[in-house]
Amino acid sequence: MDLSRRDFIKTAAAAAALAAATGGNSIETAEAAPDAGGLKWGKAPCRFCGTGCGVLVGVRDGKIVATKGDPKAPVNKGLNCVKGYFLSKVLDGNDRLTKPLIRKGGKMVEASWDEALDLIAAKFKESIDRNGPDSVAIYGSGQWTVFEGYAAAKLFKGGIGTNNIEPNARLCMASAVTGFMTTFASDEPMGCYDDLDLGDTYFLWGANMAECHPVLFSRLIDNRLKNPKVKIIDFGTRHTRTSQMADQYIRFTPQTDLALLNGIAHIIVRDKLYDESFIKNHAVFKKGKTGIGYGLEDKFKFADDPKPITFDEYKDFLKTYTPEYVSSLSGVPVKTIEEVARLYADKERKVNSLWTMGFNQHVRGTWVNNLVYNVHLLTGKICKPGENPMSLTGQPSACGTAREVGTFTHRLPADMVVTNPEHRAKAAEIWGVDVKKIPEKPTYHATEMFRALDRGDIKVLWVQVTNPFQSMPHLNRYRKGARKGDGRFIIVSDIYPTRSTELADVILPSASWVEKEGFFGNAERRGQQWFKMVDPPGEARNDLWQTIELAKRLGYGNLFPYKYVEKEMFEEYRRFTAGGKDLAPYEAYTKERGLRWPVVDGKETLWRYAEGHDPYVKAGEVVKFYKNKKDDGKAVIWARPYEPAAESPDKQYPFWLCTGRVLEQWHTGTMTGRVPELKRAYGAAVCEIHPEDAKKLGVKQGGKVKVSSRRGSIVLTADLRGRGKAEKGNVFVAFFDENKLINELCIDAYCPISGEPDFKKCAVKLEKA
Amino acid sequence: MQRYLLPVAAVALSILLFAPAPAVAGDVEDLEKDAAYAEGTPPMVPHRMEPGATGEACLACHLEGKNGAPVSPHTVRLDCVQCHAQGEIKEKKPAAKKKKMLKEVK
Repeated sequence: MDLSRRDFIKTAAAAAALAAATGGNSIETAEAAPDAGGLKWGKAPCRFCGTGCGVLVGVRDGKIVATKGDPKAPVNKGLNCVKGYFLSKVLDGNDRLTKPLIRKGGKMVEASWDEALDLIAAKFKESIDRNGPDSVAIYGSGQWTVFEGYAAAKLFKGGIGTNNIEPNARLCMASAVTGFMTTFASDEPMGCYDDLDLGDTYFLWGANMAECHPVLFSRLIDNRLKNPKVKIIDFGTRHTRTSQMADQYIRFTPQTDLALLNGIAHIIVRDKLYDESFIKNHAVFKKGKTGIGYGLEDKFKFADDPKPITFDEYKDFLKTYTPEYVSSLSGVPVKTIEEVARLYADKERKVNSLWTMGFNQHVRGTWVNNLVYNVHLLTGKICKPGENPMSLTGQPSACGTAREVGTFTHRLPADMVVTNPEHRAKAAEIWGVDVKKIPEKPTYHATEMFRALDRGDIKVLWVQVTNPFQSMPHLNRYRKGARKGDGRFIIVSDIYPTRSTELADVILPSASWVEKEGFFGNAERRGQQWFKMVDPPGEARNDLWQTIELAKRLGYGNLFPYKYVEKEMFEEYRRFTAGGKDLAPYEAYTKERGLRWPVVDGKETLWRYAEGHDPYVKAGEVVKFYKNKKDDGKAVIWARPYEPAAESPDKQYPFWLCTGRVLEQWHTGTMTGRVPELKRAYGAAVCEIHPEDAKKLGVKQGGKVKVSSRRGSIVLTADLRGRGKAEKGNVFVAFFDENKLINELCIDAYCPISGEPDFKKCAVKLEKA
Repeated sequence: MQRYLLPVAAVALSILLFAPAPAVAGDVEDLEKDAAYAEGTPPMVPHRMEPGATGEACLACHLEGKNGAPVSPHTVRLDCVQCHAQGEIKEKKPAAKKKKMLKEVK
């Protein structure tokens, strides 16, 4: 299409849109306008990703009959993605779990709640008596509501007395957390989604936003339509819908993002493009251990040893990362690296970096998070409206629950950790428990938790709101481990049968989304509340109720003395958040379309650490990373080197395997897989493969290809020209498909600092099948 | 890319769509009114789509209603496939024209 035609379309499109907006002709949407009779509308955040779109839910006769993008929701302003539009159907699949089920003689048999809960409590007691509290565990998720996560943390850490609590967010956001903690000493971003509208230069690092954060991507595209200066640059290892709509796609070799970011910093320092006064006032330099391993061995332990360095020492560290060296590693041309560094440093540009799993699911995930902050700190492009680094999340409350409530083994609410005696004392005081109850040592992060189950160190495991026996890496080992017997007992709470319920000894039917009252926190620190709008089917019950029922049976009912459970529990949790992560009173969230913390004196905060925006920054301080007290309120620029992936292609396994999401399916497909429209749009996982690689193998479009790693093997349909296009030597497979367990092939190597596995890189071979 | 050719209309509409929402603390909500104003479920696409189809490819027909295509009510939203996913393919039309255009886009 030539330029004039393209512009014609845009011009005409804009005119047509304006006409539509002012009442011109337009097509009817598929759904007829519901009549007012008996239809009641409520508000809720979307059930799916971490964007946190607002949705209006229409209920008639106790049934959800419609959902619409909420025009008043600041996140999405009326827009949803295709998953969000089908929210009304995700709860209505014909195989909803409606009764507790107990495994009896190899068969799942219906049981009453009392029978199931009594059995679970007996198993917990037996295991604790015989093997101690660290033999029982709970594995939840970033889809836990704040209440559910808080109740689980309080029961396990403050009641049972074990740190055996982990969320699946360990598989998705843990590196973002350790990145934030090591650089700023406080989790969660300084910026917010307003930066998507206010900036003009966006670097996407391994983030397929068009499919995985579509509504946020639309905000970017919209910004570009308004502002001719806007540039979207997509760094990727695979050409996606995002690459297609970006202004520039920069292909790089997997794992070399570490080198690229150091290369960008090298040029910024070499050419003195940095903001000297910002660095002087707001940054310190540090280095940590190198050659830190990959966590492939059971019981792997790592502790970093941060050492302060000078700016000159940091400059020396960067000397290795010449554009030529970085180009040789990454495959990105020298000229492009130079241009990108200049764009990052351009004083006339408001620069943002955006990332998700490409950075976080990375054996050096913490480092690569640190490195992107380095570039923003060096150039002073941070804590300003329209220019910030922004970590996007994949689950609706990975931030609000997993990270902020702190449902990780090492964490307590509001950035506190079990290893700190003051933090334990504060938690014990608010929870009303003896401080000795909360163990000071973290136990297992997610991968180690499933290794412990395989070894038999954990006997009883309760899984809530997630599907680990599809989503763990090196899945064969952990699936086998779960059914080894010898006292192992698995409880799975879910709304549909999954690859995890099939391994369970007890299956509990759960309530989901608007079948219960809830609270999620999204990626821009926005907390959003909703009320229960419909009853769950059959005997299905809220996970919060399930946890409290176990607590009562274990003798910890006194930890949950609430009448209006959600509200009172929230007010208790809120006490943890004062002093920088402040949440508003519960009442406020029932009225608002969410509020971004810290909320002080009823006012939300758009930009943290920034004077005039963050109430904790004093007049004259301009920017203050006030949570990092040990470095005088400064952020840390880290010397972190490039180190190779845990497993790289070789002669025997010559391809990189990357896994991820597609637009229409979410996570392991438990919900989206029940919606016929979504299933039709993208029903089965395929293997994206480069046409030249396919040709060499004799595989044609739609033909079968056998993909094998050192851990497993799977046959998939080859896709040479799909929406995502593999680079040569790379293949991509989505992980949602319960019939194609691609995670059996993934390596369970992880970032030693965050414990987050690398689902994006392992070596595979391909054969025609 | 000559985006400066964009008319004021586009800017005005975009501001309408994505202006920062005012704080509504304490407002009495009228969710029903909001729902009446919101768009419902978007139609699925009843014809074959090229894997790389972008807004420009879609608007080649859906801007003015060429070949009997319904006219889009929101033509500034360019990531069409974000909401309109592949649906059941009802009719098979020769896709020669569209293919040609896509090549030119590339």
